[in-house]
Amino acid sequence: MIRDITIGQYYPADSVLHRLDPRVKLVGTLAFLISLFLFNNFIGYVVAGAFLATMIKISKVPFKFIVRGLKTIVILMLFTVTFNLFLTDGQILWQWRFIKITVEGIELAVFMALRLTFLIIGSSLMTLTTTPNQLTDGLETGLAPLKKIHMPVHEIAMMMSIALRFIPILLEETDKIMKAQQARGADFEEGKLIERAKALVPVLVPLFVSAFRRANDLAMAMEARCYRGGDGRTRMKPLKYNRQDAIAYLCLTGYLVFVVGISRLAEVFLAQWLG
Amino acid sequence: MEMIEAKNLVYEYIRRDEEGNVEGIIRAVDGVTMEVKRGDFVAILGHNGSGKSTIAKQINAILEPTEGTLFVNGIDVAEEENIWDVRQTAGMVFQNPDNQIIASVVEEDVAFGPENLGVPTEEIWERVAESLQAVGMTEYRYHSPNKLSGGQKQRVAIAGIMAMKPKCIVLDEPTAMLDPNGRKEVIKTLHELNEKEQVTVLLITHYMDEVIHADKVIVMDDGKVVMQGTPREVFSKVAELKKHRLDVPQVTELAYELQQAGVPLPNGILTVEEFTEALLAVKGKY
Amino acid sequence: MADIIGYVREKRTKMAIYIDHLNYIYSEGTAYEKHALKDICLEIPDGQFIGLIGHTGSGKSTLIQHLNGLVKPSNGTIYYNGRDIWDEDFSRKELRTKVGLVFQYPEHQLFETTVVKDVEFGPKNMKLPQLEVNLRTFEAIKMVGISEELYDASPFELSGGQKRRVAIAGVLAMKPEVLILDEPTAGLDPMGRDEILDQVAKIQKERGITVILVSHSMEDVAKYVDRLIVMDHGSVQFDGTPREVFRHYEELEGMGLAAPQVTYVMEELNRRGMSVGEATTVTEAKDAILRSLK
Repeated sequence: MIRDITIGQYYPADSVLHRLDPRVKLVGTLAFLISLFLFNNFIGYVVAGAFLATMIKISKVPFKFIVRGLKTIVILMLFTVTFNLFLTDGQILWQWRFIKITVEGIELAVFMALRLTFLIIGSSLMTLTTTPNQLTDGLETGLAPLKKIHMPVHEIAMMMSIALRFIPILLEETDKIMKAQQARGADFEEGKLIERAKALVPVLVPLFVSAFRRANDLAMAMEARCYRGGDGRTRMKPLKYNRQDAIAYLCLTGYLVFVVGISRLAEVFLAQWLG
Repeated sequence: MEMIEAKNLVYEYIRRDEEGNVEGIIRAVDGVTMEVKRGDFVAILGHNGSGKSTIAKQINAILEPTEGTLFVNGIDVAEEENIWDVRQTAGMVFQNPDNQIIASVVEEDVAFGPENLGVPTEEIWERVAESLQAVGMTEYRYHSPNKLSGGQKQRVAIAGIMAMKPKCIVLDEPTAMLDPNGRKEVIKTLHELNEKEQVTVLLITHYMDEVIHADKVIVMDDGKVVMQGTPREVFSKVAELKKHRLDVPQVTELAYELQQAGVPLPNGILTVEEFTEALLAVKGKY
Repeated sequence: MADIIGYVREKRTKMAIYIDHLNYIYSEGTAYEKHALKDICLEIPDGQFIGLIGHTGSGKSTLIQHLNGLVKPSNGTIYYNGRDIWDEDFSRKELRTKVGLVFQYPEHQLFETTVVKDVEFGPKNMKLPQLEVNLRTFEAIKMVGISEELYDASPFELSGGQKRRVAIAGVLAMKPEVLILDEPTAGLDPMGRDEILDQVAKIQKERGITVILVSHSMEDVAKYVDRLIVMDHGSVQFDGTPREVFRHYEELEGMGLAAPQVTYVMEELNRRGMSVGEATTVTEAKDAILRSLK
């Protein structure tokens, strides 16, 4: 049950996307997400969809793996779609009391659904092709300029990577503590909400105690290995841009210009055609 | 100059109540004088709470001596500016294998120490490869530590220390949480490192069968050194060991029990072979 | 004939615990799929003291979690006093109070503010009258040898060995008919180990309950148990008295286990022509050798 939760799922494969510098992927994902809000017509979505499809193909990650990520947002998706579908004003197609379906509503619902899908697929494609460590490395190096304004960039990245290492351990531990309390007659499945919340105390207290004990041990182990913050540290795998990263940045710029340009063009064209 | 030299070493834990008033003082280490020779494999034995882990933390400059002196490779651990030197000279491996692995990939964890020391990238790669080789974990270098067995995790932790090129490794009950296979793996690895890489090993444990090949055994109880000598010397005093809440290997105990029953066996039998030889020799006299 | 088979079956399934062709497949249908238990058939009669041995990953921990219904078998049946524990109208919550399971490092599950409150948790969950809860709580704490002045102490302030005993008391207070302990001595020093095992043996005798002691150390359990079950790769490899099982010391080594050192001593002496017989503990070996010398 609880062990099925996976955070920062990584799909090991040997693809260009996997080999790219994590900074490129971070910037790329961000740019792609922003691009989704820069246009508002069908052509834009086709181009973005095509771009995404190409990336998925290049990544060598099986499609069903990517779709799996969508399951978690089904409810959110249904909610947005219903909301947009029934509550948008405009040219009425069908009406029952205050509920109505309009042309604009359908359009908006479809666009929102697509936007959400692309958003999720786009970001999960990044986590699927980048190991959590690369990701934190990418963040640390990418955000390094912020150190000048006293942002603890190294510390944040270190915290993230430690969290990533200990999440599976703590999940397993939660599972074990729950079983141990069940063996003492605890019941997590029955009762009212308040009772169920109360039933979690015997799980949460030991879990916190254990997390603190681990944190204490880990701090000592890190000190024993001469850890004293980010200053003066070298790296086993320093991030270095190379040719393929440059090409990736070029492709990305190309995509951005193209998607914005073509959807603008389409808008002008449509306006003329309709007007 | 010895690798580790302690003179009248004391450590006091001070317990305070909520207002910060001193509630009680526990002398965890109480006037310990001992030395560990360069290149030796030394074991500290003692039951839980005998003060053996506190000494380990003092050697690694995690805890400062309350009284007395402690030198690691000639460096005074009490001097604030020496702590990083001390930690690099005497690397430390802890009990819980999970709580000392920092990275999510084996090789990156081994690199953690050298990265902290500011070792150049190329040399880090060399050191990681060498250390993993030395503990026999090369084939797991790209694995996640979560998928390894307890013994393998401890070997990764040892590799992480070896990559800092220490002169001495201090291990605080590294096998307490492992199964028999894991324990054997770790002890074998330590003996190999001791022999091949000439690293001084200070092993803290309460498992007697792990120390029979050590050069020297130090027994602690109540914060004090109560016995020391070669394993044979120490294990020949079965009754005294039991008094300090310790065990002896089954053959040693059997030999002792037979001695008590009047069978003239020699003292300090440590292995099955020694026992059978001795008993057969005795049998001839019957 | 059919009647006899039926009778035998009924009698067998009325044993405290009867495991019939139990299989468990972990994470079925995913990349991590693992056949953790393979066709396990075991009878566990009332009042037996059993050692369950196997190295990490042999399936022993998974097996014991089946016995109190924490894990559902992929296929096969487990009977408790003749009843299938996964029957629809069978209360597994009640089963867990009858088959008490003490997990590895049980001190990690302590959560209350005082020792007494923590031990009470089990009996309280059973919805017993307060008087009965108190009786059972104090009886259990006493049984594990925790002294009176610690009753109101925070469990987090106790020593490692004391914490573990409090945690064991927490299960004992439910008065289980079967007590299962998963590596109760892990991480303890030799004296702490002996104290816990002696106490468990005493409880087993006094209450006449079935005890299953899970361990990876043959030497620790050989002294105490009537029966040893050895697991490897998810199946039962040996099942018999310690003496019977230790005869297979060569196979045991192949599984990453070792018979107690005295087994090797006796074997070596026999091989070298001094017939001393068999022994599983130091005391037995001493007596056997003394007999042979005379």
